[in-house]
Amino acid sequence: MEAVMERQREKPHVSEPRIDARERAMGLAKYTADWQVKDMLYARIFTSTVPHGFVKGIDSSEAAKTPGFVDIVSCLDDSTVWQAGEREHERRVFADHVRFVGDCIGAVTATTRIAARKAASLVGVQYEELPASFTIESTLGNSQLKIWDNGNFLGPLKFEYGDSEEEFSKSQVVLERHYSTSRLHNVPLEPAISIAWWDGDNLTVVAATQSVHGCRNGIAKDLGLEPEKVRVIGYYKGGGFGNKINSMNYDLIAAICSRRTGKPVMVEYSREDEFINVHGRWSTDQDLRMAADRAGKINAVEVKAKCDIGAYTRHIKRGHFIEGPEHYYSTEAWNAEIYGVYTNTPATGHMRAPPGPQSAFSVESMVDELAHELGIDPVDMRLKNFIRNPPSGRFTSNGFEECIIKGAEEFGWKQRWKRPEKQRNKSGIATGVGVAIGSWHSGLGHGEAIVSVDSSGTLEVNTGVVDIGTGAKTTMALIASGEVGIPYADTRVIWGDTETSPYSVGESGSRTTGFTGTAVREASRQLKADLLLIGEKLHGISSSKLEIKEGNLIRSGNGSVLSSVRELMQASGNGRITKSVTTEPTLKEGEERFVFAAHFAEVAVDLETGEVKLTDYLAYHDSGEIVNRLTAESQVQGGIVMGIGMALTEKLLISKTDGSIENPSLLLYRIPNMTQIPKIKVFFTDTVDPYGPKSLGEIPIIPVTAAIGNAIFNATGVRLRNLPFSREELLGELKDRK
Amino acid sequence: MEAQTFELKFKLNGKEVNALVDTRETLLDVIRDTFGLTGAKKGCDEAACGACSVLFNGHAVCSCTMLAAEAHGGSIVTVEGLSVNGEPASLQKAFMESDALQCGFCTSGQIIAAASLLDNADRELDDNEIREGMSGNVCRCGAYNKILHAVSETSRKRKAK
Ligand code: FES
Ligand code: FES
Repeated sequence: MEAVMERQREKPHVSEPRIDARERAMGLAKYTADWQVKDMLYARIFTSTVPHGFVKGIDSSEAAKTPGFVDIVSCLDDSTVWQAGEREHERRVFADHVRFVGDCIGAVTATTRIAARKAASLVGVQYEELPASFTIESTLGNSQLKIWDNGNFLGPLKFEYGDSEEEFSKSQVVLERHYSTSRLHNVPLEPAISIAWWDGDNLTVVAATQSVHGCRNGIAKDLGLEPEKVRVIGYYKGGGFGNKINSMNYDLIAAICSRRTGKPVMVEYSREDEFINVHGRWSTDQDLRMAADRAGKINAVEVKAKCDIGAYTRHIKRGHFIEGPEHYYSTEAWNAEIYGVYTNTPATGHMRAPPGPQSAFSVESMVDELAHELGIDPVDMRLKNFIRNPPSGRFTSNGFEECIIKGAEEFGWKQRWKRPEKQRNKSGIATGVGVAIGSWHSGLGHGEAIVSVDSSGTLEVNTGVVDIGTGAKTTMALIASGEVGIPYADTRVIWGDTETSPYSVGESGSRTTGFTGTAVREASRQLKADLLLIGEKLHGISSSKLEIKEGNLIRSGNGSVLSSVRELMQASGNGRITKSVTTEPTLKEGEERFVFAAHFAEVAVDLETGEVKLTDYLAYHDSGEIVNRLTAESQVQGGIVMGIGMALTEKLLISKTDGSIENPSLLLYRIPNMTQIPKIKVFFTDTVDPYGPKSLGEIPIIPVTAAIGNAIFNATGVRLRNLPFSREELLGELKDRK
Repeated sequence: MEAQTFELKFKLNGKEVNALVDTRETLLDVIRDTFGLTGAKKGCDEAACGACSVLFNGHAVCSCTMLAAEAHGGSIVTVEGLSVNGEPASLQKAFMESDALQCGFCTSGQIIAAASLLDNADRELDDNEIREGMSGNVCRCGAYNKILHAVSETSRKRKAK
């Protein structure tokens, strides 16, 4: 926070606590699990114990004897397809063809959660087993294997420009390296959960979704209902980071179990279920080649990657398993060839900037290797090559250079960076610094909002956002309050219910501020115009000479207060003025809209134990105008914390014998705690984008792993190319060195 | 294991309460389902995240791995019990103002852990002591810098009194 405040301000920055901070801090915010619905039953899933096969029979006789047992449903009697669960193939809610250990086969409903758990554990399933694969190599090498009938991989996705062969042959320096990243899990602190009940053929779902409208539309489609028949409520969510996008299979399970039993049903996943049954990040195996001239100009990049995408993949864009770095640098040529390979392991899908950090890790490590090879300062290397405009077209705004230059300045790069061999080792601890950069898209699209003011002068903003922790409600309130001129304290929000709120895109893909926020801004402008006209009538002063500030109508120029908004509203005789707006901003031909960042890390490496400790971190971001510094800074810090986990500790361990997850527990899958996190300083450029504030949610995680890896190299001279960085590998390399 | 019931009596947020509970039920489930206090959350159910933290006789514990029966005769304070006349306590205000919460799912646990740490310290805590003391409470949204700020501010103010 201090970091932001110390800056020279050209105009006042807004920095406000969340609009719902009180509810969250007092334990009053109601998350899905906190709903107590009358007569509610509990459902518990039962899952496959084999990695690949057909379900041949289900024995529920023991389960049915459990006191409290109500119902069992399985693939034998329900074939609902969860269309959002797998983009390329058919994924059933209850699999009859199971594709990984943990694939959901059915659910038991009971009167208590203890009874449901007990009964689910007693269900017996018979299988006809099929050949299975748990690694990329075995999938590609096994002709008997049929994870999917029409092929076991997706791709190749090719991305190409320029003549890379030509560039490689004529460049003075060519590097070739292999990098890998591991399977990860989103680990939202709130595990998957859903409550559903029916009223005739109207369905209500209290969902832990990142988008109430996306959830409603998905459920309606899969259950063959009109969207109007489905109401989705979702006020408070315990994070998602991409694994609560739109409708989830557990929403469908709740609806199915409720329809069968005639009672409200809660489906609750344990942490273990969450790890196994809700998707995480795919792993990558990447072969990179990079060509440059002696002066450090990067001429060509080649990326060949294979990604383990599990048995199902939710990723939206076909084959885009590696994506991003082609928008970091201007090179003569780029050549990427990407495969997504199915294995009999749990599903993969969106996790904060889905392909972003994996792709940044390899390229940003390699640029560092290249800089070292050429004897160039890594920051200078980036300054020589960062992208100013995309190959064909132009960016709507670009603060990349400012991020790199000012970031290096604030970090004290020039004083702190020395060539690796010159970094001094104090008492067995080696310190070093690293830099990495990144960019990410910043979309624009359909937005809806209803903004109104009532006779008391209270401003009300109604949007379909859900606020999974991003601060979306706060952002919408601040946009409206700033635009109309009514204090934030007199602003309230309506959100998170398809019945009461207009459509919103959902908190994924860093889109809420750009999409829904644009509609809020437009509705607020219209509302303000109306208020000014009322003022014009009331005071006989042209509306062009009037302004609204702090909830008062004032005369421009001398700033004298003419009346309050409340008095304006009373004079108008309107109980409420409402503006309902839909916006559809589009980019002009050739325009691309991106956000940019430069990250700087300092590490201390214990040369005896191999322990890596982050001792300092600084992030400089261009996300355009920042609506709220306080929450924006939190979002950046949060992405960095997740990136630190990816760099140092996080890895889903996949069994070599049956593809199951060996560490589906927070005791074994280690996410960072407070002791691992240094002070993280966050800065924003004052870039102004013609289309308004740019995106922010995803980019902070992108440069982190490479910044840390580069710092480890700077401290020790050891280059680690596999994530998470392993102590054993580091110690081994150090020993070989001696 | 068959269901057995137990007449549980304890102090909950300062009030004597009792309930007939299943002996297998955890304190967390009883607080949430029987007493309707849903501030404490279930993030893991295996004492690995801290979201379910409550004060048991003045010290933070994970209520997910404690049987309700173990609280018999003791005093339990949940996040709902920290507020003063319906208003947030100064520690809660510090969390709000510092933006020490994002999704808020870990927040009640963080606040309880911080309350325990601060209540049981006889001096101002330095950053590393706070980091250690709070290390059992994870925050996936990564609000750690802000949580540290909120706790250290509160520690400093308490000391100044
Ligand atoms: S729910 Fe008790 S520690 Fe996680
Ligand atoms: S605020 Fe979301 S887990 Fe801490």
